Amino acid sequence: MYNTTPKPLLKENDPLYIIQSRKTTHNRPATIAGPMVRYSKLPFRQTCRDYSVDIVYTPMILAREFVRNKNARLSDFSTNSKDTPLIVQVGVNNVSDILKFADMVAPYCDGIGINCGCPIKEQVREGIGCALIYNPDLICSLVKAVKEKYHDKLRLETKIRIHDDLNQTIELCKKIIDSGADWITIHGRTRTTRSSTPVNLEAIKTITAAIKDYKPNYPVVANGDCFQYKDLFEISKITNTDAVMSVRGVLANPSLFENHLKCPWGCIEIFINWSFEYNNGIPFQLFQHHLFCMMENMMIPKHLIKQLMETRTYSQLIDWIDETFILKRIDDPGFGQSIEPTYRQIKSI
Amino acid sequence: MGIPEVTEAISAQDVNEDSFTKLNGRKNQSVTKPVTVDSETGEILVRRATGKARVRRGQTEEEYNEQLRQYFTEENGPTRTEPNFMDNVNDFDEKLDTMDLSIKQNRLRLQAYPQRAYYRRNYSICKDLCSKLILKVKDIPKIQRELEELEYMQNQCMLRLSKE
Repeated sequence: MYNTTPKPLLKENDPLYIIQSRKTTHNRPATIAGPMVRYSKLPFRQTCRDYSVDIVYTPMILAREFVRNKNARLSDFSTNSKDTPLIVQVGVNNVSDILKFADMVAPYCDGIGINCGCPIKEQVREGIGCALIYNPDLICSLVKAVKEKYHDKLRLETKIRIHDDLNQTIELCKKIIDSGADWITIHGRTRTTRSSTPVNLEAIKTITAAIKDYKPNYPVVANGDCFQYKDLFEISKITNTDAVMSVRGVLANPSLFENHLKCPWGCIEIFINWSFEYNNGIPFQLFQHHLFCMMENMMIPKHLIKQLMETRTYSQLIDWIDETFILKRIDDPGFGQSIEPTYRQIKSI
Repeated sequence: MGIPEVTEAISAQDVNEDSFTKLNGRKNQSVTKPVTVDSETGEILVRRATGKARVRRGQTEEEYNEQLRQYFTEENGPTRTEPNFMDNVNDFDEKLDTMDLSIKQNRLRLQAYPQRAYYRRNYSICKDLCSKLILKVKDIPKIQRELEELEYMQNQCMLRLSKE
């Protein structure tokens, strides 16, 4: 009755092909900007794409709300023709909801990722996020249901956290593979590991080795603590994974996969441009927080960052930036090219 | 059909510990293993933090079909915002006349038009868009901050245009 046919998968937009081929075609692992609750909206996704990110995720979208509520759909997912390759990440705890969700998003994305890693207790209580890694039967039934319906027309990924006992994770991965998932992303922390604790790359390495033993060439993505360009190669080398996902790293510096050690000013210009271009009711606080993360990464003086956080609206924020820095617009020569900010006046720096 | 008992998932240590232990010094790390009550509608049973079982209502086929109709025919899928989509001022006028402006999300979507014009230094356009929007929303209660931004942009635009 309605056209729920998935978008055609070509070499340019097939995330599985990209993950499997980047080491050969680009001499580097595939680069992925992972899902961040609230933050991976369209303007930020576009900014990441402008800086050599191969695949970008949406924030986790709760299937239950998406298939039942128009307002949830309006605020959770907007896209456009440039928003590809795109993985829509879903928080889900039953087969019925994921099948309905897949029907609704498949024509507009290049794959679906099942969130099996979110540690937020409200989600875990619902059996969503990393609760799923303790419920292998449910993960497998979710994966099987989608793959049996869509086969290779729709890519399906699972993003998991590790268990305290890695053998559990290995067994889980084998089941996920047998269920038909196209690739697995492993976040090298347990459910209770704090993000301040370094990611356990040895664990990812052990699990990846077991996966590749079980099914040679099966694609695995490593996630955790990718903050700089060199981390991309180190993480991939240590863990023997095909791709690396950065989440907090790209939030602070969307250009990290282009070997910028800190966020360049041009990236701020580009992000602001996309934010106004694609703004479709995105809350101001979210826009402001992105700029906070990027400016902090650039080491903008703290008193200026405080001023940024004191602005209350889009227009106030733009006026503050224009009074403080040279902010080029898209039609200005040199837009998006600057590395360092140019201050309009020294405000007791 | 009787409601099945909600079972605990295996804990992080994969042993049958009490679900409300202070594992690793942190309270209450139990995870819920939802139980499907009706696989057709997606009705499931989960357990709340208090330990009480809670049913998450399913969605009937009719309810889902209505959502599909809304999504594919009224909404035309997810919102699509292509580059320069806000250049079309007629589109703004049409939305201004047809959208339910008592819904905050709709007001914010319209407010994005003058905000973009302001950012792009198109002050004349911004001023006009603000005026139109203020007229439509000024009587809606509890939108002080939104009105303040519209008036701020309007005033700044007039100031800047007067200097040109």
